[in-house]
Formats: sequence, C-alpha cells, structure tokens
Amino acid sequence: MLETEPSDAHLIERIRENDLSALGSLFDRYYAQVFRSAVVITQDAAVAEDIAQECFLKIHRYANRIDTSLPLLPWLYRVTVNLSYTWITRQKRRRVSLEAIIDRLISPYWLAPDHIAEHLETQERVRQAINELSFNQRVVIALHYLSDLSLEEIAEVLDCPVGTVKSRLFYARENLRGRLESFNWQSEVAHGYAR
Amino acid sequence: MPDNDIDELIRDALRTRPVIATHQKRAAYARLVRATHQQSVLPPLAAPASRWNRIKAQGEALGRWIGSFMADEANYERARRHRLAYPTWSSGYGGSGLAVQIFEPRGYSLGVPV
Repeated sequence: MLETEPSDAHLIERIRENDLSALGSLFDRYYAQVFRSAVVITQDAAVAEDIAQECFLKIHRYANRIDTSLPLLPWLYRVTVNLSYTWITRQKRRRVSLEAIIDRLISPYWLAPDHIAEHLETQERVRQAINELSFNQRVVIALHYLSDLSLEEIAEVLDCPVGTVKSRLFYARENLRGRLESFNWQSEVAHGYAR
Repeated sequence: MPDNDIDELIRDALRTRPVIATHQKRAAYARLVRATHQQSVLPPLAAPASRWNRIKAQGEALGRWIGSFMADEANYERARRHRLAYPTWSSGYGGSGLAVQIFEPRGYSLGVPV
C-alpha cells in the first residue's frame, strides 16, 4: 500500500506544536527550489544558502501565522524574493570573491571533451547573461524557468498585475537574446569564423 | 534566435546548476535546527474583526451612548451639579431620608461673606 506524504498544511500544524521533524520534511521538500531561486536572483551561492536558511526559520517562527488554506510554495518564493531584494539593496558594491574566481578557473568545461565543453560553456554564458539582467527581470526568469510558475502564479508571488510579469518576462527574454547573440558573434570572431 | 531556443537555453542553464551536494544540504539542515533552538514559534495573531462585526460593535457603542443619556442619571446629575450656585455635600443614611446639606458661600464681596 502506498503511503501518502503529509500535506504542507499538516506539516505546518505539526511545526506549531514544535515538531522539528515536520520542519525537516518541508526542508527536504523545498530546500533545493528555494536555494536555486535565490542563487539565480542574488548570483551568490553563499548568500543564497543564508536566504534559504532564513526562509525555513521564518516557517518555524511564523508557523502560527501562515495561512494553511493557501499553498506554501508561493509564500516561500515571496519570502525568497523579498530577502534577496533586501540583500541586493544593502549590498553597496559587488565584490568578486577569491572562491568565485577559483571556481571559474577550475570550471569543468576546461577539462571535458569538446562537445561537452561547448555545452557547458553555453550554459555558463546563459547564466552570465542572466546575471546581467536587472533584479526584477532575474526574479521573473527564476520563477518562470526554474520554478515553472505560470504568469498568474508569479503575479501572485510578486503581488503585481499579470501584465507587469508578462512585460518583465518579454524584456528579460529580449535582453538575453541580444546578449547571447553578441556572445555568439564575439565567439565566432575570436575563432575566425566571422565573415 | 527563435523564442523556443531561448527558452530551452535558459531552462538548460538554470536547471543544472548549482548542484546541491548531500553533505551541503545536511549541514544546512543542522544549522537550521540549531537556529530554531534560538527562537520560538510566535503565537497566532488575533483574528481581525469582520466587517459585520465592526459595524455591530459600532452600533452597540452608539446605542450605549444614547442609552446613557436616556436612562443613566449619572450624566444628568453631573451636569446639574455644575449649574448650582453652591456646592452641596450630603450624607444620606441609606434611604432613611435623613440628610445634611451644607451650603457654603462661593465667594466674598468686599471681604464680607455674602
């Protein structure tokens, strides 16, 4: 017989009674989504880890105040976006850490076979292009492509009209297209393929 | 570049990184558990009054205010006392009808009690 997993609402009820194993279940269920979204938005894995921590601490702290009749995930995304926004606005200037430079230098595409290396390089360029987008466009990209939220769901998370989400997504995609095409062009020039 | 290609590139780039290692996740959870011990679950917020309840409460307050003029004599007595020229003091013996009233002059005219 299949054992059904407890619902988010049920787990929150248990957290209200200070059952930490219920928090653990929610952590297992949503940590990756929250962490990855925070990474895309903040462009910093260490900060994203702190943001994910803070999200789950908020679930624990505000368990009694979370409306269990509504799905939890949009609430979590809203907290993630708000915390990321707070972090970004507090950050005066972006510092590139030594770890990030080393990470880039030992990036796997330097060591992989050609076709894999090319694929990894493309992925890295797309990520780099996403990093260059504005905060609002990055958030929409993360929620739409990473979390698979519909435009209506994103509008609910961000508490803004669907039209605004649609427009941000459109401009984000246009910006990415421009950046990726310019990357390709530069790459062709670098390899002597441009005519 | 067609939209579908862009969509595919974005999805592909975002889905694969960053990789979350098991030990990393386990460490994050241990940190979370430690942090939960430093805080407590907050009590629920008081339920906000519904619109109907608010209107009802306001109606009741208005009723009490009007009622205080219609039925409660305290307001009337307080207002009446200020209209008297002399302050009064009475000592009643629980409805026996025996009371003492002292009338004092409120002021002096040329040093002579009026």
